[in-house]
Amino acid sequence: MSRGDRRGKKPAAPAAKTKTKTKTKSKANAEKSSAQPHSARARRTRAASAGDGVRTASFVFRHRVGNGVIALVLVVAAAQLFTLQGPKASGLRAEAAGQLKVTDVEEAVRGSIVDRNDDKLAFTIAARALTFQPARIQKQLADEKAKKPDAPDPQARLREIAAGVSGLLNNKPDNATLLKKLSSKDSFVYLARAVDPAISDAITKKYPEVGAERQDIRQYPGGSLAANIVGGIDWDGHGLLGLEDSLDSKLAGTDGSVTYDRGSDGVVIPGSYRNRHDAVDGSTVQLTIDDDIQFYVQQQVQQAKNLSGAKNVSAVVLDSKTGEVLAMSNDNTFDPSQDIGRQDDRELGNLAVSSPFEPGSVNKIITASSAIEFGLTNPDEVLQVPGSIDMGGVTVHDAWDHGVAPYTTTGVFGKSSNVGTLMLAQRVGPERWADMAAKFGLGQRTGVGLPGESSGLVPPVDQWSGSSFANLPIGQGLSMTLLQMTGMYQAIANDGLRMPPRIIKSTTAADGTKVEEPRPDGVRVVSPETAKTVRNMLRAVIQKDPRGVQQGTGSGAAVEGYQIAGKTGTAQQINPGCGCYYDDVYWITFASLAPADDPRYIVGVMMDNPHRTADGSPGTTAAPLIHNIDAWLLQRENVPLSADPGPPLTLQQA
Amino acid sequence: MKAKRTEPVRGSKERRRAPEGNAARRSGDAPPRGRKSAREQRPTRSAPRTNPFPRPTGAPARPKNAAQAKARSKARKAKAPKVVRLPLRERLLIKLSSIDLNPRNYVTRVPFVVLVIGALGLGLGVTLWLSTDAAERSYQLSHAREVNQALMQQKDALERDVLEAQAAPALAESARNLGMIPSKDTAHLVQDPSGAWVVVGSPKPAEGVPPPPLNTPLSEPTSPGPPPPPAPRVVEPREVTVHLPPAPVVAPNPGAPLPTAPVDTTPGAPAVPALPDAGAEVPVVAAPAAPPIDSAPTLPGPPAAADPLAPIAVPVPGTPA
Repeated sequence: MSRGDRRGKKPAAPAAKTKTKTKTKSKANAEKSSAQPHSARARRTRAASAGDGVRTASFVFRHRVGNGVIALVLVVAAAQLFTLQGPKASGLRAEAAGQLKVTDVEEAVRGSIVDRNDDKLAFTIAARALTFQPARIQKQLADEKAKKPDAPDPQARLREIAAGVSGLLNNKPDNATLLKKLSSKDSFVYLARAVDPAISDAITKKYPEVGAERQDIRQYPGGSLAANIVGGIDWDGHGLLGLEDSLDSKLAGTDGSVTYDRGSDGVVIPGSYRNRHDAVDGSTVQLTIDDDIQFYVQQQVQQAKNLSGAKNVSAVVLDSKTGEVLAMSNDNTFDPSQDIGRQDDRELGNLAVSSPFEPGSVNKIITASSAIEFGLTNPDEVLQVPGSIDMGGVTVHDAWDHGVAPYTTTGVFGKSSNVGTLMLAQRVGPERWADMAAKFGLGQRTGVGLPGESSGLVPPVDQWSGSSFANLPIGQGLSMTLLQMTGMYQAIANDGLRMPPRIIKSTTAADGTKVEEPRPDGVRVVSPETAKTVRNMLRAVIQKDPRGVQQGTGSGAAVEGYQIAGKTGTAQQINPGCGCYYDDVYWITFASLAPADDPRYIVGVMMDNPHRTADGSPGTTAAPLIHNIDAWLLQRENVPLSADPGPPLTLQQA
Repeated sequence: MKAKRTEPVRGSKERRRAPEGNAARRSGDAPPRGRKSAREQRPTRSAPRTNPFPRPTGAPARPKNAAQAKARSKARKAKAPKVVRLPLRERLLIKLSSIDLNPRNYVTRVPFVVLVIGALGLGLGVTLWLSTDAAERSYQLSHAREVNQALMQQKDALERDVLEAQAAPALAESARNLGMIPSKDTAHLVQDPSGAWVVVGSPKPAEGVPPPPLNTPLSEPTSPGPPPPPAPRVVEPREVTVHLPPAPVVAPNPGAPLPTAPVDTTPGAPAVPALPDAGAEVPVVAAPAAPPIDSAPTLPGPPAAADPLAPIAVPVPGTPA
C-alpha cells in the first residue's frame, strides 16, 4: 500500500475526506495533550495489540505436542513401509499375484476328416452351450421383486424363460425339463448343448438371464457313412471310437492360453497380458476312402444283410496298385451324428479289421500260387481227383459227391475241389506253404492304420498236428480278417507284389504343411508271370456254362463286358457247444479282381451265416453282392471294357 | 500495523493539498519533509519500534470557527482535479483511430509466452481430436468385428447345410424321394476296331424298389421307464476250447426235450422251431416231412470245407459246388 496507489484513487476522495477530517480533529486533540508532560507510567506501557498471541505459552505447548505427533506418525509410517518393502515384500507379492492372475484357455478347433476327394466326413463348427445359474438368478429376481412391485414374479419369469428357450430350440429339450433345471437349487446348469450360434444369440438377447459359452460341435454330414472307420467323439469333444479316437492327438490340436491380471472389480489391468500361447488347431486327416464308393458298398452290404438273413455282412474294396482302402463297411453301422448312447443295437466297431474268421476256400489261392510259382503244376494239367482224400488221419471230401474225376488244375480251383487242392498242397509241402502264407500277410497285422486291428491266427508250422495240413490249405483251422483276405488277392492283382493296405492318405497341419503318410514297401509274393497265370485261372470261378460242366462256383458275379476273376469260399463255423464244426452254419466269403485282364479293384466280402444268397434267392453265395459292387465300380470309374471275354477255360476234361 | 499506518498516509494526502500544515501532520512513518531530511532517507522498517514516538508538533491549527472550516473545505474542493469524461462517440473514435493494422507491429508486440501457450493449446486440441477419432474408430472396429463374427457363423451354418445336403446318403435320400431307382447292369455302347458300334449288355429300364435310406433318425427317447433288469451274469465260459472230434458227432441238444418218441410220429412241426440251428437238425431231417425242398438247393456239407451250392436246379451230379 504505497503512496502512489493512494494518489491514483482520486475519485474516492470525498468519503475519505470527511473521515479524515474527523480523525484530524481527534489527532489534533491527542497532539495537544501529548504536548504536555506525560507520566512515567503512561510512557512505559502501551495497549496490548492483537498480534501478540503468537508467543503465548499455550501456543508453544500445542506447537510442541503437534510436532511430536507428526514425528511419531512419520516414524510409524516409515517402519511400516520398511517392513512391507523389505521382509514381507516377496510373500505379499506372491499373494497379490495369486489373487490377480487369471489364465484363459483358448480352445483349439478339432481337425476335419476328409476322404480322398476332400469331401468332409467329419468336421467341427462353432456352437454354443446354454448355461444358467439357477440359485443366483432366482435370488436376483426375488430381490428385484422386493424392490419394485411391478417387476415380474420370479416363478412367472422362470416359466417364461423355459417356454421361450424350449420354443426357440424346437422343443429339444422340452419345457418341463427346462423348467425343472431353471427352478433347481444348483449353482450352475447346462440348459442345452450344441446350439446353433444364431439361435443362441437370439436366446441370450431375449433372455439375458441365460448365458452361452463356446462349445464346438462335430458334424458328420454323412451320418453313418464310413462311421465304422471314422468313429465318433465323446460329449467333451474327444475321440471315442474309430479314427477319432486313435488319431485324437493329431485331430485335437493344442489349446492356447493367455495369462493376465484382473482387479477385484473384474477389470483387466492394462498391459498385464503375458504368456500368450496361440491355439494350434487340429490337423486335417485325409483318408484313402472314396465317400461315393463307401456309400454304395455300405448300402449294398446293408441290403445283402437284410435279404440274406446273415448275422452280419462286411465288405472291403482295395485299389489294386497301391493297396489303398477305397471302401470298408459292415452292416448296421452306428450314426455318430446322433446320440451314440442310444445306439446299443448298432454296430460300433469295424468288423472288417477287428473280427477274424475262417476263410474257407478263398484261402486256396495260397496253394494255387505256390503250385504255379514252384512249377509243380500248370493250369491245364489234368488231375484225377477222387471223391475224398485221407490226410493225417482225417478224411476230406469234396462238397459234392463224385468218383475219380479228370479235373484240370484250373478246374480244381474253379470248382473249388478240396481233394484236388490238397493233392496240389501235398506237392508244395507244409514248409513252403507256411512260408507262402506268411508272404501273403496272414497271421500278421496289415498296419492299415485303424484301431483294434486283429492279426488273425495262423498256427506256426512247428505246432501243426497231423491234420493241420489237411485243413489249412482249404481255409479251415486258421483265421484272418476280411482286410487280410482282400489283401491276398491284391498281391495277385498287382503282379505278385503285395502292398500292405493303408487307409490314411495324408495329414495336413493347421499351418498348411501336408505330410503324406509313409507308404510301406511292397512284399514280393510271387513272380508277375505266376500272378498272371493265377488271375487267368481264377476267371474259371466266374465262368458260366449252360451245360454246367465248365461252370465255376461264383458265376453269379460275372459282369457283362468285363473279365472278372475271383474265388468263393465257405467255411464251417465252430460250435462251442460241442467243440466241433457246425454242419449248417457257414462263413460265406468271396474275393474278386475286376477286371481280370488289368485289375483295378479288389473286392472282398464276408457274410456270417446267411440263410439265403445276397439277393435273397435260395442258396448261400455272396456272388450277387460282388456282382453289384463290381458292376457299379467299373461303370462309375469308366473302366474300359475288356477287349474280349477271355478264352474259355477247361475245368473238367471231357 | 497497517491500521496504524493508514492514518499517516491519509494524512500525507492531506499534506499535499495543504502543505501549510506539513510539519504538524507528520507521523512516525512519514516524517515531515522539511526537517530531518537525513532521517527521511532511511527505509521504513517493520521491526518493532524501539524509540518513543516523536511528539507530533505543529499540527495545522484547528479552524477557529465554522466559517474558516467552510472556507478551507471550499478551497480544497476547488483545488481537487475535475474528472473530465469525453462523450462515447469521441472515445470510440479515438480508440478506432488508435488501432494499428500493421501485422508486423502486432507480431513485435506478441510476447514469446503467448507463442508457447498457443502451441500447447493447439497440441492439446489436436490430441483431443485424434483421441476422439480413435475412440470412434474403435467403436466402428468392434462393430465390424461383431458383424464379421456373425457372418462367419452364418457361413459356417450354410456350409454345414451344403455339406449335409451333398453327402452321399442325403443325395440318395433325395433321389429316393423323387422316385428314382438305381440302375443295375447298365449296358455299354462300344466301337469295335472295325468302327462298328456294338452294344455290350442288354439295356433295360431300372426296376424294383429304391433301397432303404442309410440313415434313419433315432426314435425319440421315451420317458425313462423303470431301468431294465440287469443282464443275467454269464456263468459258463464264453470261450470254449475247440477239439476236432475224430468223427462228426451230432451234439445232443441240451435245451429241447427229446426223450419222447412222438416227435417222429407227428409231422415234426412243433419241435422244429424250438430247436436252435445247432447240429440238431439231423434228427429232424430224418422225418419224412422235409425232403423236397431241403435236398435240392443245399446239401449238408462234409466235415471239411464245402462251397456253397450254386442255386441252380441242374440235376447233373457233377454240378459245381
